[in-house]
Amino acid sequence: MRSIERILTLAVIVAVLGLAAAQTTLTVWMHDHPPRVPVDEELIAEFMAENPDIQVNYEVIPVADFDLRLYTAVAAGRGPDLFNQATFALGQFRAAGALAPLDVEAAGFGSREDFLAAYSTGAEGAVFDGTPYGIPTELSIYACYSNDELWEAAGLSPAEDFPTTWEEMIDVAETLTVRDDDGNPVQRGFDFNWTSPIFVWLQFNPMVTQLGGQLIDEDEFEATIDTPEVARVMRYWSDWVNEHRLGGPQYTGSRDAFLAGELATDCSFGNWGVPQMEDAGVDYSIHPVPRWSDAVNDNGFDKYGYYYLVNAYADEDVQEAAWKLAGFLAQHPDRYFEEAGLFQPRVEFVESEAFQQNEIMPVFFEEMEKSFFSPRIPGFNEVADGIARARDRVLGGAPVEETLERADSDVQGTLDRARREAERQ
Amino acid sequence: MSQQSLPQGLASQPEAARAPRRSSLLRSRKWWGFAFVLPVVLFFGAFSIFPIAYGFYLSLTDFTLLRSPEWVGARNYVNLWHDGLFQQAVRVTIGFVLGTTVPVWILSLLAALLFFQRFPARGMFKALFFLPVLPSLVVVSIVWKVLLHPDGILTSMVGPIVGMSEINWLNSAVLAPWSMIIVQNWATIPFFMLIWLAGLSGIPTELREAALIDGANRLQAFLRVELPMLRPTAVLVAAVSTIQAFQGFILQYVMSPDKGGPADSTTTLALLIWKYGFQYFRMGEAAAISVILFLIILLVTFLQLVLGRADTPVGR
Amino acid sequence: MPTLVPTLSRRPRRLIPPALWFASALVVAFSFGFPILFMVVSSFKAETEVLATPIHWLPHDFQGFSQYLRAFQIAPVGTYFFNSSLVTGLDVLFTVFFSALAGYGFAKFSFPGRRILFYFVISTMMVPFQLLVVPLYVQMAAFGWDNTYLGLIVPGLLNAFGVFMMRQFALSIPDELLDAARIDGAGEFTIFRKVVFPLLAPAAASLSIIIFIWAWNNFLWPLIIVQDQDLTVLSVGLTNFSQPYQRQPMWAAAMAVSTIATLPAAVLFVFFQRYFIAGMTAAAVKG
Repeated sequence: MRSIERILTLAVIVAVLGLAAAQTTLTVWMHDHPPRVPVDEELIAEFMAENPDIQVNYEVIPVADFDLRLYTAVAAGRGPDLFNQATFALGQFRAAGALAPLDVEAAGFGSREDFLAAYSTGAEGAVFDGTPYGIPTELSIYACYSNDELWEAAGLSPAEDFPTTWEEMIDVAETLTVRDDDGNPVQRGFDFNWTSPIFVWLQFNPMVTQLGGQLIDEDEFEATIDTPEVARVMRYWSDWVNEHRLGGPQYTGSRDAFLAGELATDCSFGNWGVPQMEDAGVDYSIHPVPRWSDAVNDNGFDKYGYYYLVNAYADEDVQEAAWKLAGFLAQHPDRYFEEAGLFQPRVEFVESEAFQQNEIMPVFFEEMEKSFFSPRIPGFNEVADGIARARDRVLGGAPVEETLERADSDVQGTLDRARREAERQ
Repeated sequence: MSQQSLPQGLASQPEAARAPRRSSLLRSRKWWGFAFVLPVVLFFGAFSIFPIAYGFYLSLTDFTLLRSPEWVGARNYVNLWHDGLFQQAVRVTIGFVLGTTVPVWILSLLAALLFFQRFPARGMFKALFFLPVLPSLVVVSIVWKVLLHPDGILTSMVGPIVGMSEINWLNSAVLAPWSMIIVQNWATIPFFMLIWLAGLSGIPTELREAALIDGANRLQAFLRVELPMLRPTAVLVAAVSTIQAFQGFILQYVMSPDKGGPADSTTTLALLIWKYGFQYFRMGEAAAISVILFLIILLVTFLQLVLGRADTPVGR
Repeated sequence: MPTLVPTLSRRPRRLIPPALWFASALVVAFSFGFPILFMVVSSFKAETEVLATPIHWLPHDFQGFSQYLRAFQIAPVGTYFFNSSLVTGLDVLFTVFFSALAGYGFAKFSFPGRRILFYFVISTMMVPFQLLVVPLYVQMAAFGWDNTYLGLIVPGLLNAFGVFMMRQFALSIPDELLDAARIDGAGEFTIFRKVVFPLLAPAAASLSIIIFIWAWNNFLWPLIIVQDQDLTVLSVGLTNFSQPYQRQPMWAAAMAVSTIATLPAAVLFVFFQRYFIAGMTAAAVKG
C-alpha cells in the first residue's frame, strides 16, 4: 500500500514538473486604462484555461513613463514579450528593431491579406513597408464637442450653426465668447489644445494635411515645415491668439475648460470623452472637425491607435505564444467597447447593430475613415517639441517664415538621426 | 590635486596632524587602516569612477537605449556644435549664470553687512530672512509658481506700476528666464549671506576699530580693511554660486511650462541632458553634453583654486 | 553660530542709527520670508483664496487640515513620505558610519596607496551629478535595478564629502589616546567604536544634518531611476502638485504638501541650529 502511494506521488510530481517544463511563460505589459484591466484579466484567464501550456504574467504599467520603462527593460533584455504602444512610439521601436512582424498564423488570421481585411480601418497604423507589426487594441480620433447650453445661450444652434470651415470658426467662436472689461475672454467659444506638444501632431498637422501639405515626409525622413501650407496654419493659430484673442496657451487647457463650462467647443476628446461629459453634467453634441474652405484633403484631425506588439528579442516560441494571445484578445471588440469604451475596428463589429446604432460612434468612425495617422517616425516627441517651439515663438511675435525656416532645419537634424537609426538594422 | 588645493571652507579644521605619527603599533596595524577605507573605496569605484569612465565612453557612441552602443568617435560633439537646441541651452545657461551670480554676490554681501549690525529684533529678522534655506528647490518652485500666476500676487504688486493686469511671468519667452533668475536669487541669497557672515565675524575687531580711529569713515574702513580680508570667502561664494548656477535644473523643470519652455527659453544644459537622455533617448548626445558641462564646472573649480590659493590674511 | 561682534553700535560716531538698520532689516527679512509664510498660511486656505488679490494675509475661510487631507487623496503622499524617510535614513546611517570609518582610516593609519586612495575618493566630490546621471542609469538598468529600491538607494548611500569632513576631524584625535587603548588590548574595531567614534560625534551630527538635507531634497536621481508611484520619493512626488496653469487648480493642497516637505528641515533647524549652520557652512565647499 505504502509503495503504491509513493509511486503515485512520484508520478504526480513528475507530471507537474513535466508540465511546468513544457510551459511557455509570457510577460504582458499593458498601459493603465482602469476600465480595460478587468476585461484583459478575464480574457487572459480564459486563454490560459484553453492553453494550459502558456503561462501569462499580466502587468499594468502607469501611462507616465511607460516609454522609459519599456525602453530600459527592452534594452536590458528583460522587456515584456507582449505589450501595447501607441502609433506615436511605433516608429522608434521599429527603427530600433525591437518589433517582431505580426505572425498572422499564430494570431489566427491566416494571411496578411486576411488580417488587413479583418479591420475596417486603422490596421494600417502598424504597417511599415507593407508588413504589419501589430494588432489594434484601440483606435481613436478627436471630433468636436459643443456645449449645447452655452451655444443656445449665445443664440446659436449646435446642429445648424456648427462651422464646417476654419474661416467660419473664427466668427462662430467670437459669437460664443464672453469677455470682461479688458476684452479678455471669460468664456471661450472654441480653443485649440495647447497643453502638450503632442497636439501639434493631433490638431496642427491635420490642418496642414487638409491644405495638401505636410509637416514631415514620413518615408523620406524629410522636414517640410518651411512651406506655404504650414505658414498658413501657423498664421491661423497665431491670429487666433494675438489678433482675434479667442484663446491661447495662457488659459485653462481646453479639456478642463470644456468640462468646467468655460469653453463652448472643444475638439480634443475622442469617443472616450463621453463619460467625462456625463460626469461633468455637460449637455453635448458631436460634430466633425472643420475643414478649410479650399481644402484639398477632406480629413479631420489625426487618428491614433494602440497596438498589441511583440518583442523581437523574445524567443521564437514565446513570440508565437504572444501572437496567439494577442489574436485571442482581439476577437472581443464588443467587450472592449461595451466595458472599456475602446474601439477596435474589426469589420464584423463595425457592421454589428450595436455599433451602427450607437449614438456617437458613426461620427467618429466616418472621421477615422477620412483621416490619417501622424507620421510614425523615430523621434516623434522630439519633432513635436521642435514644432511646438516654433509655434510658441510665432505666438511671441517672431516672424512666421523665418521661424519656420529655423524649425525646418532643427527638425531635419532630428530626422537625419532618425534615418540613420532606421538604416542601421 | 594637492592637499592645499582642497577648498578652503574647512581651513579652520585641524590640519596639523596631517602625517600620522609612525609608531610601530600603527605600522603593524596598517592593514586595519586599509580595511577601514576599503568599503568606501569600493563604493566610489563602482558608483562614481566607473560611471564617469563609462559616461565618457557613451559620449563617443550613438547609444539610444534600445540598441547597443555603436562607436561614432567625436560625432556627438560635432553634432552638438551645430545643434540649435544645444546652442540655445548654452545661451540660456549663460544668462542664468550671469543673473544668479553677480547679483547674488552683491546682495548677499549687503544682507550680511546689514545683519552684522546691532539693532532691535535682529535675531528674529535674521531667522525670517533665513527661511528660504529650509525648503527644497522643488518646494521653492511650487510656491513661486503660485506667486507668479499671471494674475496672481506678484502681478498685483507689480502690475499697477507697469499698467498691466496680467503678466505672463512664466509663459512668456522673454520674462520666463528672468523669473527663474529672480527665484534662484531669492532661494540662494540667504545661504550665501550666512557664508559672508561667517567671514565677517572672522575679522578681528581691532583691525576695524584701528581703521576707524585713523579717521576713515565706515565705507572706507570696509573697503580698505574688511573687503580684502573677505577674499577667501568671496572666492568661495563666487565658486559655489557659479557651480550651482551651471547645474540649474529643478526650477526650470518644475516651474516652466513643458519643462524648459516656453520655446525652450528656460532649457538649461542640465535640463537638456535630461531631455535628450530620458525624453528623446539620445543617450550618446546626453552623455556628451554632460561631459561638456563637467569641463565647464571643472574650469570654475580650477579658477577657484587658483584665485583662492594666493590669499594671505591681509591680501595686499 | 559665530558670535557677532557688535563693534559699531558702541561707537559715538554713529552715522546710521539703529532705527534705519531696523527698518531695512524689516523690509529685507520680510521680503525673503514672505513666500514661506505665504506657503504655510495658504495651506489653511480655501482653494479660491490662494490666488486671491489683494492677498489674504490670513485665511478668510479657514480650512483646518482639510487641504492636508485632500493632498493625501490627490497623491499617495504617505507613500512618498515613507520612501523619502527610508532613503534619507539609510543615507545618513551609511554615510556617517562609513565616512567615520574611512576618515579615521585615512587619518590615522599608514598603508600603501593611502594618499592615492584618498584622492581617488575625494576627486568624486568635484564631479557634478549631471555627468553621472546617464551612465549610472544605464549601469543600474544593466543590474536590473531601475525602478527598484536598490537603484533608488544604493548609488547615494555614501558621500565623499563625508569622508573628507570626517578625516579632517579624525586628524585631531591624539595618537596617545589610541595607543593607550591598544596597550589595554583593545581590538582595532573596538577602538573605533569605543574611542574614535565618540570623539567624532559632534562632526557626525553636523554631517548627519547636511546629508539629511541633501538626501531629503535630492531630485534628479529619484526622478530618473524610479517610475512607480510606490517607490516615488516626496521631492519627486511633489511635482504632481505643480500643475500647469491650464489645469484645474489645487494650489491649496500643493501648499499643504510643500509645508509637510519642509517640516523636517525646519525641525532640524529649530532644534539643532548649531549643527545645522555648521553643516551648511562646511558643505558649501562641496557646492
